This record gives sequence, structure tokens and C-alpha cells, in this order.
Amino acid sequence: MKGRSSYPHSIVSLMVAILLVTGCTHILKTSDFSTLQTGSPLRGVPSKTFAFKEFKRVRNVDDPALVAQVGAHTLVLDQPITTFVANQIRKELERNGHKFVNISSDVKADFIVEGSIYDFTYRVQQRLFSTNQTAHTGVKIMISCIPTEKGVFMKSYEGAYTTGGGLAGWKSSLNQALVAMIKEISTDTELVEFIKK
Amino acid sequence: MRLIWFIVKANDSTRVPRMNALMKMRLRRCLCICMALLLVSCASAPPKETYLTSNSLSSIKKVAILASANALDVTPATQEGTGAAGLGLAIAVLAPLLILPYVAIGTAAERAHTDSASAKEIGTKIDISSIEDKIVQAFTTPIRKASCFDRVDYIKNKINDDHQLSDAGYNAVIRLVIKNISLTHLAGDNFGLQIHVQGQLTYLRSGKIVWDREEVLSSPEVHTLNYYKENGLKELDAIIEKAGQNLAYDFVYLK
Repeated sequence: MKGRSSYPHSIVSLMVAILLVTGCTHILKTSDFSTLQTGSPLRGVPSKTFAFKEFKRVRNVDDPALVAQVGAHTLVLDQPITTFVANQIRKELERNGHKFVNISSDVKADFIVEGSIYDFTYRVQQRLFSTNQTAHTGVKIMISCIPTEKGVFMKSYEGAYTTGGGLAGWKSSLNQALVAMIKEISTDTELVEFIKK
Repeated sequence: MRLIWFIVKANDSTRVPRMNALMKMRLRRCLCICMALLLVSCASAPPKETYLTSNSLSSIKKVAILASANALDVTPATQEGTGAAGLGLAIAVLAPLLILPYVAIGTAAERAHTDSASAKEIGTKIDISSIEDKIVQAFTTPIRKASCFDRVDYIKNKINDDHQLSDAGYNAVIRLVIKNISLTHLAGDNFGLQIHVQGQLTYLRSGKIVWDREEVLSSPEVHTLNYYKENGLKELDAIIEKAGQNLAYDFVYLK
């Protein structure tokens, strides 16, 4: 009878192990993503208003929130990736004293912002004695003056983060890659010069 | 996870007559917790940073800048993520058991040797002192232009003692450390150039660190080692410039 006392633990352990080995859906709360707290030359530009068009995603997927499929594990955000990336860019502009509005026919803004997300991926690479995880983000942005005759600015920005360890760090890796990309946008002197014009 | 299950299960099947059930349960729980912690700790956390606040700089008039840099580090194709020791060990263990693809291993070893020779050649072209000067210049130019402090002095003679700097009339010291310059094999013949810079501002009176930031920057494009032999310095200068500027923005665009 003494041996029976370990059965409940064994059953629970077995269930947990089966769940982890067979895989499941992992949801990343976008509210957990950090925002930049570093200095940006965007702050040195007089306040402008940006009208955001809906961002597009180059990769064709059924689930707009899908980040990656790692083995049997499905990694997703709690909102479409296009919405999320656009929001992060808006937040960075706001943090530096600018305003944003949603696009409409009678919108009054200085610039129209369009974006195309060509990379938002996470990979786990199993090597001989180690595991590497890499997150990549990439967005192509087009900023048009209103009226458009004044000029159009187009540029791609990327962020990457590689670290050791397995699936446990996917949220942190993706966060770091996104922060790196937003920092690229925020510290781009060419973009600042264009907005200043 | 399979490993955790295997170890916990193996422990379950161990029957030590003198060990009572309670002790076994406790042991099993401890084992589960330890294994779970081990799994979680595999993912390394990004460094914690300390950001400037609007009143961080109010008491600083005269600031000293110190810089240091480490030599180039190259991760060749065959050592990617594992290290030469790991590969050597694997070969030593597996060689008697398997029919080795000798040609592939020979090519990989040759490749590692070539990469290592190229890396040495690139490394000798990098003058650490001029790199330190470069990061200081990139950092101080915008800071001086924005008049963030009354006086900013680059201390080149490696005074690293806070007391000496304080005695010389400085209120704070900014240390710029190029922790790592690396060429990492990515795919095919291509390598990516990356630098990791840390900036720290310390009040000399209290020794308190009020600004601690890290910049990890990669060159926008990847190239072969042969390309870096010719243009490595130009590429390196560009990302050092960018890293220095990014760190300076914290001071220049402080709210």
C-alpha cells in the first residue's frame, strides 16, 4: 500500500509530460512587450501628425497572429501581427511628442504611414551540444507627405535577437527583436531629416 | 521535457527499502523543481538597463570619458554554437562507432583553418586604440553640440580610479566599453559583423550608477571574410559611429 502513495504524483507528472511533449498553443500577450526608454532624435522634431493606414503582412498565413510553429508548439500573439507592429510604431512616435490618427478621407495630418511586415519569425536551432533561438522582425515603411508631391520616404527596418536556450525564452527573444527594430526606426537620421523638411 | 520525465520516472522506479515513502515524495518533488528550474534557466535574459531621468544630470558640470575595447572575436563556420571542443569530443566518441564521412570533416576542418587565418588577418588590421577614439568621438560630438555638460574630457591615459578623477574636479565619469566585436558565421560563406557596447555614467561622489545602457548593433549586410579583409574597418567604423550616437541620444534628447 505504501507504493500507492506515489500514484497521484506519477499520473500528474505523466499528464504534464504528455502535454509538454505533444505540444500546445502558446499565446504571447502583446501588453507584455516592452517599449523603448532610450533617447531618440525624433524628439528633436516639432510635433507632427501621422495618419496610419492598415499594415500588411507579406507572408500569407491563415492565422494573422501566428508567429511560428516549432515542432508541435504553436506560437501566437493575442492580436494580428500587423496591428501590433503598427501600434508599436505609433507608441514610439507618441513617446517622442508626435500624434497619430487613423486614416480617413477628411483626415488632417502631415504624413500618411503605410507598412508591410516581411519578417516576424522565431526559430529554434538544435546544434550538437546546444540550442539557439533567434527572433527576427522586419518592416518596410512608406511615409508620404500630405500632399504627396512634397515627397515620399521608403525604408526597411529590421531587428534580430539570438540567444541560447530553448523554447522557454521565445517571448523575451521576440520582444528584444522588436525593440531592436523600433530602435532602428527611432534613431534613423534619414527618417528624422525627412520628417523635419 | 522528455529528459525530465525520464529522470523523474527513473527515480520512481528506484526501490530503496530503507527509504520511507514521505522521503521519496519529498525527493521526487525536489527533483521536479530542480529540473524545471534548469529548463527555465537555459534561456538567458537580456541585460537590465538603467535609464537617465530628467534630474540625473542636474548636478554634473564636468564629466570624464573613459573608453576600452576588446579584440575581434570570430566564430567560424564549424564552431557555430558548439565550440571546437564539442566537435572534437563528438568526433572522438563517434569515430569508432560509425563510418565517418571523412571528406566532410576534412573540408570542415580546412574551412575552420581558413576562417581562423582570415580572422587573424582582419584582427591585426583593427587598432584597439583607434576604435576607442572612434566610439568616444561618435558619443561626445552630439553631447558637446547639445551642451549637455559644461565640460567633457576624454581621458586617454587609462586613469581608472574614481578618486583620482574626483580629485581632478570631475563630477561624474562615463565609461564606454566595447565589450565585443564579432564576426559570426551566418550562412554559406557569409559572416555578420556585430558589436556590443556598454555605456555607464557614475557619480564620482557617491559611486552611484545612474545610466547603464547596452547597444548591440549588427552591420546591415552580411559579407564574406574576404570582403571584411578589404572593407572590415569601414564597416566597423560605421556601426561604432551608430552605437556611439545611439548612446549619446539618451543625453541629447533627455525629456
